[in-house]
Amino acid sequence: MTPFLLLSHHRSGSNFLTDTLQAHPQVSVIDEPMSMHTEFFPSVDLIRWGAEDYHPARLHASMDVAPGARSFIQDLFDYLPAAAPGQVRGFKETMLPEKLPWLLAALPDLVVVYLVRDPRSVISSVLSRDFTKLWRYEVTIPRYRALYDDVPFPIEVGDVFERCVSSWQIRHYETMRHLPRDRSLSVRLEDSLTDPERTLTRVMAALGLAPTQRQYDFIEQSQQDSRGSAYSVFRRPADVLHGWSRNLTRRQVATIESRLSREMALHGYDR
Amino acid sequence: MTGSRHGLLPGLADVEIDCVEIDLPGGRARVQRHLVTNALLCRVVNEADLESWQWGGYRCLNDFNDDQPVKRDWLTRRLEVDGRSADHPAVGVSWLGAAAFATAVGGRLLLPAEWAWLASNGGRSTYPWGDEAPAPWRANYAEYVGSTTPVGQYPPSPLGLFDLAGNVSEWCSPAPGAELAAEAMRLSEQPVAGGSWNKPADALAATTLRTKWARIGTVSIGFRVAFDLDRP
Repeated sequence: MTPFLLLSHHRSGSNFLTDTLQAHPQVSVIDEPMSMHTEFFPSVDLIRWGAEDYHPARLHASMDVAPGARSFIQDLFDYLPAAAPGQVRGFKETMLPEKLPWLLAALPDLVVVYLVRDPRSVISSVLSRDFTKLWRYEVTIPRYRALYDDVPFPIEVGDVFERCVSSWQIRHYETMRHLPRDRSLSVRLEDSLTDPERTLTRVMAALGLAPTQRQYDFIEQSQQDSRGSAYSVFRRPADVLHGWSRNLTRRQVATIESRLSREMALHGYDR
Repeated sequence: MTGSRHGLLPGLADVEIDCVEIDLPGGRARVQRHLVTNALLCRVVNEADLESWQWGGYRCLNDFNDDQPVKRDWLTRRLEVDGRSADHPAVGVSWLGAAAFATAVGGRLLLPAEWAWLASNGGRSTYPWGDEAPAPWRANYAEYVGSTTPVGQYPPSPLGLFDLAGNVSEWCSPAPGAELAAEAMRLSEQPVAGGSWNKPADALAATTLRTKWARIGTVSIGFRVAFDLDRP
């Protein structure tokens, strides 16, 4: 069975979906092998890599300076498609949409599941826990604006909030333009909470499997209470769905809804 | 019965590993009473030079994760841990790293069947503590704490072992002697037993077993070492 990539923006519920998928006995997911298991990939965040940049031995010319990362990713590319019959292997990333063409050249059969969350929730979560330093938006967003002049929207970099909005918009743009139409699926986090049966059935079908009761049990257990670390999957649905309305100012909400109006309409997020 | 084991490497002669002597189904062994801690990991990895370091990647310890309490001194390349996390279980260690650690101290990882036997107190209980339902005071699980906790903070099992339920899951070895073939196993999945601080209650059962890529070190998988007494 073919490998898959679960791709999302930071703070979009990818840990929740990862654990839901892994509750299936035939699925294993590697948690951010590129952005959390190498030093290299965070340093090239939002720098586009094309299909033509993929080289079977070198992987990418810029990786010549990072032999440890290259060895690790070479092993990953060998490991993912080598699952036993009936088993599905995948990985999740919250960076790298601008490197999808390169990834698809390395893993031609890769199925991509794009997890979308209401940008108001995403930006609220990033800001409330001050994750922008960890992900270096102050470097990556201005760098992206300086490198690429073909982006069909203005990229604001003025303050932390503006950079968060830009991060969501840029990564959404890069994802949508590179998703393989015949091997991809877009899923809203909100739907996985409000209609888990339909949503999980769609996701598992993309992986060639059917949901199990243990997956539904996991979803139910994880929704009983909000507790734990910043990356906890134990969250009440109300906190996930509506927490942004307590954390963002009216002006911030208006800015998001104005700048991301087309993207929000595309994914069915009401203003 | 209890005992301690001294490391085999000259530089590890003073390292004592607290063990419980147990008759496992396959023979008598000393099983580490606690999970391997960050302090012990640093000591052994530094002394045995287990990390074949290359810029940008890792073999044994994923110290690129900002949540990892063990950090590498980029000048000396030695691992260091701050005092607050010294007695927490080591995490972020790949199966390759765990197997190499066990070999360096003259032991081995537990087999999945051995782990399940220990966690069920010889097949007599559902959980390491017995058959009662999971509760936050019995083990660290389901994000009630939100991180790892110092080893030995929760009650021991009747066999005298700590943290078999929760805190972190444990790398196991698929077969006796598998550590010797570690290099060839870099593309394989290896067994992981038990629950952890961020996994739900049902993972605390003694029968919980999954697999994970041998190359990866995560925030919720640790390990303990066993020393055979009957085998040569």
